[in-house]
Amino acid sequence: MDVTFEQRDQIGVAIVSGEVDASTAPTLTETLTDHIENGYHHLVADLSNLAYTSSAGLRAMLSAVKLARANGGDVRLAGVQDRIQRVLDLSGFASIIRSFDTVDDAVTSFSQ
Amino acid sequence: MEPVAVFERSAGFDDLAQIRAFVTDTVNTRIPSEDLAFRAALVVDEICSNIIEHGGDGAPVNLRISVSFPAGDVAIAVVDPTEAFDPTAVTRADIDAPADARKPGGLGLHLIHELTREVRYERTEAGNQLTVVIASDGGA
Repeated sequence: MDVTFEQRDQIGVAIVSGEVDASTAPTLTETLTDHIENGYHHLVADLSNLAYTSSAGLRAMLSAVKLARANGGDVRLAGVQDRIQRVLDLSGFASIIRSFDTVDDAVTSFSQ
Repeated sequence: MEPVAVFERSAGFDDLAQIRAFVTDTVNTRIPSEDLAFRAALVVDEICSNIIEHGGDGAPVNLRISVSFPAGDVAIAVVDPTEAFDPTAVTRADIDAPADARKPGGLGLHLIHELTREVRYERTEAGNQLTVVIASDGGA
């Protein structure tokens, strides 16, 4: 798994690629937490290159969502592939984390 | 039914990708279905992750993962020698709860139940044995 970060219009974008499981999820959690605590309370997770996640990845996302919302912000998803969407749907995450087709759409949603 | 393939060795979190690859490759040799292989790999990932985390306290655990194909479905048995623990008796996560009410545990077990037709636990001389059957037609 690899996580890179960029900023678009004051919104943080975490680009998550590869596979998230119990071995890599702590890194994802730490990275998202660091950015949120450093002021990026509005964060987009670009999952367009995320090929796999287990429940460990979902827990990392939920942790980030809770932290962002506690700081008046949110975490939104972009570019979710079908298999990842299926895992989100099975876990009931689709109803608690907003998701968009593109990063641009997700970024724009914070100003609406 | 005799297993078609067996993965047996000490494995920790860092070995989960290899375990998934074993399951994916084994399933694809008999039933070439990306969806089936994905479901099987995810289920085994969740099972093994729970064993390593709770049975091994995060440290590697001796695992025996055997794959067979009864009646066209995929059956996977995971055996570990850690303390007796029946994951089928654990309360599943409440997936209808809002984000701030979600507890961290139980989600893996929930996915296992959602993606399998059958989940069966037994305690044997070798330890805990969790057997799952994954429907090849996508039914669970």
